[in-house]
Amino acid sequence: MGPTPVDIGAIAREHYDAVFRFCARRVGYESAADAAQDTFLTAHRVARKYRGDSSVSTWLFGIAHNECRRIARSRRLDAPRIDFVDEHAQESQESRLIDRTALSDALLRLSSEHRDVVLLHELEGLTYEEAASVLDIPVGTVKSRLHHAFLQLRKALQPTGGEVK
Amino acid sequence: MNVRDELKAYYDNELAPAQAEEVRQGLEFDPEAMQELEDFGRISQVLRNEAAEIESYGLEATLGALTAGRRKPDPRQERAKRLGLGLMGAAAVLVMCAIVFPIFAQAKVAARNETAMDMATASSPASAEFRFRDKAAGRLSPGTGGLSPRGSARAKSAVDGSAGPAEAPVQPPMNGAPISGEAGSPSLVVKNAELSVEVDSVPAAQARVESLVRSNRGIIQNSSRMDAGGPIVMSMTLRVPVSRFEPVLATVRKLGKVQTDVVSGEDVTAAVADIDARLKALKSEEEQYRALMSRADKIGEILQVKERLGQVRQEIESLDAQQRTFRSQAKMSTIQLTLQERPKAQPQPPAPVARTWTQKAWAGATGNLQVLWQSLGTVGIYLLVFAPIWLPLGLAGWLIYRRR
Repeated sequence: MGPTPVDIGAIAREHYDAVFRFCARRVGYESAADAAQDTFLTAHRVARKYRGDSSVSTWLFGIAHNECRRIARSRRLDAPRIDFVDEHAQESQESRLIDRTALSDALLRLSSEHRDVVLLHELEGLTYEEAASVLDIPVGTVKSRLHHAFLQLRKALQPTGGEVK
Repeated sequence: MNVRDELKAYYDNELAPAQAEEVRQGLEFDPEAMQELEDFGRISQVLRNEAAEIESYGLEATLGALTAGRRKPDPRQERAKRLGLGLMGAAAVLVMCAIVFPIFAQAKVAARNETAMDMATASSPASAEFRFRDKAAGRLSPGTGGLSPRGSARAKSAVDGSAGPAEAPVQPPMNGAPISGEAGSPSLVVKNAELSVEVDSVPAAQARVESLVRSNRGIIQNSSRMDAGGPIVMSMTLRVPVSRFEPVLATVRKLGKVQTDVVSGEDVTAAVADIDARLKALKSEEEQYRALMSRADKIGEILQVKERLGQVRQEIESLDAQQRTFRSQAKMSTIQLTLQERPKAQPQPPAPVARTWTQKAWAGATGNLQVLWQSLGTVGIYLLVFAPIWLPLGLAGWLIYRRR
């Protein structure tokens, strides 16, 4: 039994920030509010179909993924750049070896399929199974895509071989 | 199992325990794989911990939209939507014009063709009498012989063989001229007739007419014959005494089938009386000038009076000639006669076979289908020709509308 129409307001309050971030990383900050709003409106409309097989956030990310694709296609939006802050880098000696700008560039160069799994798993914190549910693909595909995406990122960060820079 | 393919899953702890153990053992003997695993870990740490924070906005709008059950319209998008709809509307209007105009034009052409067919049908010999009746009803064009409404009414009655009520007031007296008018004064009426008779043999009819005119103390003023291989046509102008006008006319009508029969009369009594009065005055004036000239003793006066006298004399002679013409016309009536040979009998087209309702329906449906295809083809051509106008508008409108 899915959430009743009354629940959607509470769901929106609880998950709006996560959905907004999810959308902002796919269609950009300007269009993120539209995508997030469309996501909750769609969720409201199809709430009766939600059977609780996955978590609410996964269900919402699945809807948001489709809304973002639709908006990106209709508005001809390119994938937005994801910036990284250096503050946290001071906490980890290892992470200092990563060139953040190069990483941002490398993320932009990834195909949308590879980029989607990286964002879902690394930034949104979804498990392989949850990412597979959002993208509606097998878990093995998620694992494969993630592996290849990281190989590309690693390669982009160490153009001459050796450790990543 | 290839250890390197499972490194990321191993790092993410997404492998089954047995697989994870296998990878762990493999890593002990593969320093490159270990290095790769460490690199994956560093990248993953940055991705998870250092991505820039994103501050959300629009929660209230979303909650409002959820309450209203629809998306809150964005003014900018609404404007774009209206613009798109407007452009598409303009394109639709253009398309409609392109569709309606050719259909309208085709309907006009069809109506024109129908009229032309009607006229063609009316020109067949079988409908000659109908055409004549139509003309006699007063619908003749100016160039078809100049029948006056009065004469037309008479022509109709002559063909019908009956005198209509409208004929009575304008029928001139046929007993000859001059006759007594309303005031008891002698009236002068010029009577004319125009007859067209279809005969079996024009030469035979011509001989009869000539004999008829001679026996009635008339003359044939002129005649012309046209024989261009088709039916012979003979035109004659007959002049007969007024007293013989009616009998001659009656005899001529019996020569064949009367096609046109127009009789007209013009009362010239007033005109003749006016000429008489003017003649009388001019003659009196002439007498006075003559008396003046006899008394004049200066050359200048004599010349002046002589000049004026000449003018008066000229006017008198002109009026005298008019008076003679009127009297002559009143004495001798004119008949414009056209003798036309009856066309040889032509093989009649086979009578149309009576059709059943199914045949009629089939013929109607196929005809309408043809019209439909023609209309669609016309519309298609118009759409194609006007495409540079409506297509960009419609396309722009659709694109703008689609972007919402």
